[in-house]
Amino acid sequence: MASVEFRDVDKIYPGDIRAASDINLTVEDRELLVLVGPSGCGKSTVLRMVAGLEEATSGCIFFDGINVTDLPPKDRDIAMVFQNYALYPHMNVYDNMAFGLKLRKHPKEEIGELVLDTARILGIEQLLERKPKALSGGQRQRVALGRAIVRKPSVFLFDEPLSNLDAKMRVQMRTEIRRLNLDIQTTMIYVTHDQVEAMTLGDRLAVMDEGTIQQVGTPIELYNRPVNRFVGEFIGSPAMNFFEGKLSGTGETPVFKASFTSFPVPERFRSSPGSLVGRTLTLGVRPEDLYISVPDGNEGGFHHTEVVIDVSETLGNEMIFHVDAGGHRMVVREDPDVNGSYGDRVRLSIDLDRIHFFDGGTGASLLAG
Amino acid sequence: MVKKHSRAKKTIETVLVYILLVVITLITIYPIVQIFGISLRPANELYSTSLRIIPENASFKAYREVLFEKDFFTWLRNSVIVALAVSIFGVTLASNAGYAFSRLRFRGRKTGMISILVTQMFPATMLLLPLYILMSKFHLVDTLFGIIIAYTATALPFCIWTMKGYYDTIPVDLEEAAMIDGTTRFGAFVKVTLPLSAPALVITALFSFMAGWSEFIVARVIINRQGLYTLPLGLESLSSTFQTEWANYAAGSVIVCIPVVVLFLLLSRFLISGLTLGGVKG
Repeated sequence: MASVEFRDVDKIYPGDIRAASDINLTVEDRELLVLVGPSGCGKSTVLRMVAGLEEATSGCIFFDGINVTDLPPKDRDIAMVFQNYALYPHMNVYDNMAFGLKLRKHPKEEIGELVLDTARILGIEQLLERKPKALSGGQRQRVALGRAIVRKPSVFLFDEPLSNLDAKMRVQMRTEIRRLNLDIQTTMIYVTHDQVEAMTLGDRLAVMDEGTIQQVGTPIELYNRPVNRFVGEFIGSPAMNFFEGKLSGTGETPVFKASFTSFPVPERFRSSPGSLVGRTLTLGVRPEDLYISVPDGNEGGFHHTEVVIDVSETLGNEMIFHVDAGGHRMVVREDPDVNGSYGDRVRLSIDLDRIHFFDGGTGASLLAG
Repeated sequence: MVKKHSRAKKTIETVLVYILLVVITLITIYPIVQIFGISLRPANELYSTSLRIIPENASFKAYREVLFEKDFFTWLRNSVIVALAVSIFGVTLASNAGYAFSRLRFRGRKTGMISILVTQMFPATMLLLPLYILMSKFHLVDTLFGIIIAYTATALPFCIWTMKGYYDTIPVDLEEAAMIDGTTRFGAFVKVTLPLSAPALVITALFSFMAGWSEFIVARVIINRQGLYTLPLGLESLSSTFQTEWANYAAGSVIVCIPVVVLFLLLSRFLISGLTLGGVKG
């Protein structure tokens, strides 16, 4: 059991390549924190610094308040599950799992018991004699998990452990990892580029982009209150719709003017610092906050505009409409019983209580601190 | 129709390939067979031009003579010492140097790799004089240690490149996993990387062994004392100004081949591909 804390950590590779900048982050004891971001955003680098496989260029990393920045991996009491499993090909499953325990000089009988217990939890006890090459992808990943948990480390690290599995296996293993976290109550740091995986697994998420942490919070916080355009776009599927526009009108009642529509800026944005008028803003609306089914007369809280339906996708539990508003494409998520087909001209309603405004330049949310 | 046609074509191809292989094998084997034939010839048929493999009145007399009437076992002992030492040095140094070149990023890494390769471009004969001067300065002339160093230096470039190339195919993740599991980088190298490198280690060992076992020119220059003769030097001593006992010479050559052949057969089971299969997602 341990908490993990980053204090002003930077990682700069030779050639002045900044892989991670100004990382300040605390992973609470027994928490499952997911580092999520597009490839190349520095999330794996951050994880490898926790493991001790990469040295921090500056700053410190603490485990339970103890500075481990300069400790080699073997002295950090961590376990890691790699994307490509990294099983020792010359050892059978038993020896793969026992390797770490043998290195730590556990008595033989104890090793046997621990390995068997762990194998039972993961349902791989019949595979113990096999070499990794005789295992399927899912089995290998289970062995890799087993090798990690058998040691009962204080921090678990996962580096995109599911990305080599097929879609079905991925969903299954995702649940197993979540269950594992609940069962063994150990601090876990999980890296993924898949925001669905991140949302479903994490107690909290840290969204990274270009080497910096953009926002840390629970999945719901990130979803409902993204601090900038990047987080808004990255979290959620289908992604948030964005429209560029300018603010005009008087200071009292500023109006957001996009090319295809305009509406007064809702009250809650007006208190934000700086004069709003004249600024370029980006409007962000999630697909489920757009409706083509709001009946006439229900005007409260909605802004309406005309759009033409392009493609509609029937998913059974919901409908996805791709619509065109004066050259702007947007995605609308609707109830399954809403009808609409190619070329239909419909009224699109935007739920103004749920929209986001981001600064046109910095991308920061107008509502963020 | 198309199928039949392609099948016939395939048969012709196979036959041609086999003919080619048989021809190459014959070309390769013929000198060895010839030497074996000569080694069996009685003295009065030494200069025979007959192409018979087993001559008339064949005898193993030459073998007996080489083994028991010459200093054969001294030469053998010296060669074994030299070849084994070269193998041990070669494998130890190459496995470590290759690891550094493969895994670590340091200043001069590329230059180092290239310079090692460049040393291979010089023929050994060209290096004889400087080598002799060096050896004499270090008082290594007429010592087995002297030729051991020379042979190791000759064998190392190939061995380092082989090891480096092989390590490159072993995923770094395996070592990182071992380090996280609780060992040092060196521990990971010994417990994970080396066992997986068995094929490359075997190649390196065989190559180094051969470098020490059959080399003649450098040994000729550095070794003068008869008691330090290695097998190639000993064999050469069988030829003299006035008469060369070709049967003895051939018999000696055949005997010299045997340990190498045995070594190849013993070690060939390690020369398998796919050791790292299954460790990581390919």
